[in-house]
Amino acid sequence: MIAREKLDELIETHSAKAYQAACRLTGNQADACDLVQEAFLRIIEKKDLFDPGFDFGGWMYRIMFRVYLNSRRSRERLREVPLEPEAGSVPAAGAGSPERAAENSELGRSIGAALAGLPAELRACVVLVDMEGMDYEFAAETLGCPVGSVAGRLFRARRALRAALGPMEGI
Amino acid sequence: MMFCAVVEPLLDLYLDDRLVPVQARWVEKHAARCHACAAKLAAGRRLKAALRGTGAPAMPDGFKARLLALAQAMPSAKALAEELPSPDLRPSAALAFGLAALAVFVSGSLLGPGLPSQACSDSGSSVCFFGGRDK
Ligand SMILES: [Zn+2]
Repeated sequence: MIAREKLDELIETHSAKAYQAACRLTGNQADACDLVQEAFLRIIEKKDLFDPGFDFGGWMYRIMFRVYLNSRRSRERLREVPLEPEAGSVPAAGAGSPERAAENSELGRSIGAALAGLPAELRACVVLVDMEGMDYEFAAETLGCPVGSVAGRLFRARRALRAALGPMEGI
Repeated sequence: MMFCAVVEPLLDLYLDDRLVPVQARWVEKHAARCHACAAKLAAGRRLKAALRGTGAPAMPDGFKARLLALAQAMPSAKALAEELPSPDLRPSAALAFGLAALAVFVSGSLLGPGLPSQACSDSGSSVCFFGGRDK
């Protein structure tokens, strides 16, 4: 069981990472907030099942990605829209000069739009492996599918992304 | 080239370091002789670098406080989440939510409807920005 103080500590430690992944999944901040909140509510509800020896970060990912996929499957409630610049955005390391930042912003928007065009299961795979840097095994466990399915989904997702981004970005 | 159809499905796995050494060497040897597969390999590398380097927005002010308030309200967190208004994305909302969180702390009970809260961006737009890449 997670004590209150432990739960606070877990939120302090993992909420920013969860929010970042949620933004990549949903494509906008409002839906990312909804998704993270829903995931943490599930965690609070299931707190009695939590073993302190578990990897809480991994557990959080599993719950959040499953909430996302279930939501997309059942209701199509979460909007996925092309991405626009916004104050307060945190660029990846090495953003560089203003000219480089502008160039990167353009690429970021293009990537966001291309991701939004992917089916939810392919998008979730790309977010986990290519953006969050997880391995195939972690993605398979998180998404509840065989490792071979992760490879297949990545293959299809990347092919679609290259087709969408190639003419613009030389990808 | 006759082996392209065989090699192509392996390119992503090669880039993800998922091939056994003998397969990886086979892909490398083929790409060294085949411009088409070499170009696909290069495109795959660029795509991976672009995705890995894509940024994400910082967590909005007050959102962590909202999560902490929900944890504080457990086992009634779900009810509290339903009673809190939807994110209004206004700059002043972070302060308002701080007051809401304080109210939860003090009362230890559910908040009444209409209490201001904050959960998301301090911008008028709720659209994410994925900016930047590192390569
Ligand atoms: Zn070839």
